[in-house]
Amino acid sequence: MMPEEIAISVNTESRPANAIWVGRWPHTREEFERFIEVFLDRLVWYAFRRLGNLEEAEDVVQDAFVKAFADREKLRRVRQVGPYIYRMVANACAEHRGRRKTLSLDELGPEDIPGNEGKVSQQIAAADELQRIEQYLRRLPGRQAEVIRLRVLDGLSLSDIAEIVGCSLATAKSRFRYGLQKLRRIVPHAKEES
Amino acid sequence: MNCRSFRKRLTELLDINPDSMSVADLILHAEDCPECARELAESRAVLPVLNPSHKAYASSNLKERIMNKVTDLESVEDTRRSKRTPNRLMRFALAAVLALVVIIGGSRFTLRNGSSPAFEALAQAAEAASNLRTIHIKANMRTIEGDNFDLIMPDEGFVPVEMWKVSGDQPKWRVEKPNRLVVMDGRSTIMLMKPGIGGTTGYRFQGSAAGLVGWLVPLLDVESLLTKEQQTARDQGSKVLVVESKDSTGRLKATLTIKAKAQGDFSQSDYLKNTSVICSDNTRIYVFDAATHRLEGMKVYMRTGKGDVLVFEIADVEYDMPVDSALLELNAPEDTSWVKGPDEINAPDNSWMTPKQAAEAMFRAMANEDWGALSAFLGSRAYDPREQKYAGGLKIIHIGEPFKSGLYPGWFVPYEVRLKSGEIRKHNLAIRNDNPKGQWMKDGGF
Repeated sequence: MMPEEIAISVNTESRPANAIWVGRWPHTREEFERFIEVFLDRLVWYAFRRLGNLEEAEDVVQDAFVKAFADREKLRRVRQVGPYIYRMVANACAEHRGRRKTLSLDELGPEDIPGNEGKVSQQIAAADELQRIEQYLRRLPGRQAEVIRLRVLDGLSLSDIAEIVGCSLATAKSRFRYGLQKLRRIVPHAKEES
Repeated sequence: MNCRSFRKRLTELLDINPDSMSVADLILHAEDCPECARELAESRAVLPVLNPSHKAYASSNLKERIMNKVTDLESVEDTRRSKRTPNRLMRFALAAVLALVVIIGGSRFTLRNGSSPAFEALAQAAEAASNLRTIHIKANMRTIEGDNFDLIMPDEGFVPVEMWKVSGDQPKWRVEKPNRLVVMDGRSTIMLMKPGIGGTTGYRFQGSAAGLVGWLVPLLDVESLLTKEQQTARDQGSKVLVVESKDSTGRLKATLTIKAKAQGDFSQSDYLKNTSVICSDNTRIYVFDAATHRLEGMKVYMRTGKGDVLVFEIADVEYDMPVDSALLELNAPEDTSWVKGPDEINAPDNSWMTPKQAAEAMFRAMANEDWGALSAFLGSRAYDPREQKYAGGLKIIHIGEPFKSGLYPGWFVPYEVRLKSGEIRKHNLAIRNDNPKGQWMKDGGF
């Protein structure tokens, strides 16, 4: 009798999108350049979702990276480098929003967005997508929605998410689990697609 | 694994880099449980709906802008440092040699029905193992110190087990746990045990008596282990699962999971059920380095009434490291009491007895403190004074009907005796006669 056999393999195609930094805080110029390459798009996307404006998101991320380099001696003992830079950007976004009128994604339109044509269309498309997704996530408790955003929109692991939002891994898992349970009832067609 | 714990841990399957070892039991459960499989599928189906088709990305010159700022910062730092110390370049060079580690994540598990990837993994690992010079394994097992190496006690704590093997024309090996040790020096084998009563007891055997270490034997010989697992999987129709994933350092791992049924005959009694890996429904999980195909870890979960219990775990494996030659010499304490088999001595013949008669005769010898008669059941070894004090003068309360269980080649005889100390002992005596003379020998249980 042949044994029943199941093989499970990883999908290697989307790995770069999920790249996570482990190891110590980048110290040299070369390390720092690599650090930026790994996190730049991810953090801009993360900041864009919080600020609703690409140019402002880029400014905030640039400032966060420069501060990360300037403070590298002070930060050399940081081990959770990825979650730490995410938290730096989240704090910077909060400060930035406090300094200006909040522009929510609902209010975002081409006329609000400075920059070239390509960037405008990119922002509009991204903002439309976020509006579509947020219509579901807004119906969840805020903490559950944030864990799901970080997992799905940022492609982060639950252990990194726990570090970023400042909770235990078990709590991150349970927020993800309960959020998903609610989304299964909210999101149309998910059941049929399964 | 039950449905409740599956649902509680479901998110582990939806994480970015699931630990292949810890999710293997989840996948196996989903295979068996349509409801949980549906739960998983429905949860998975939500995620793509939340995946944005468009994202915002950084401008193409943002990195350059940031690095320009970094350059400015470095210039300022240079100026400050040059005023303080002349060896900035040296320190910078030292810092630059430190390595960076980047995990490439993005594991997404997919199920596919392959031709035989599991057996390919087994074959590759077997080939890798055939070139090994030495292997050293540290493991932990739920068992009792001093008792046989096969014995698993799911409710007991973990006991350390350590194993070494040196390959060559005359392979040598050693397996030990507290109060029990087996060494093979290439020509012969000794087993030393220190039971709760009495001093050290020793056994000598010509050649390799690998049976003394039970199911641990194959772990020393990874090649035969995998061949055996392959055969078991084919014979039993066991479920075999292969998971490929990257660990935190980016190395590709292959995790091979085998879900096996208990072997042996339990129609008369389930006495031996769940007392060893082989006599239990269990899940064996092996982790191999995908590049070298070497075994790096193993876990065994036993299916019990309380769920799946981790009963064995390899903590560390070292390959081709020097092994202290003294570990592989047949050294024993001077006071060791050596046991000879029935073919080596002229013990009174007891082969004509039934198992029950043999048990009765053995206890009667203890009751009468007739140590000569008792030696017929012990080989040439006489009970030492402490053992004689413990067993001598006991009263037989009851001898029950013998039964067989599992894969044990001998018989179990239920007994109840009152020791001189007043203690009542009620247990099953293990006796066997699978030796050339057919002589009944006490094997355990007292």
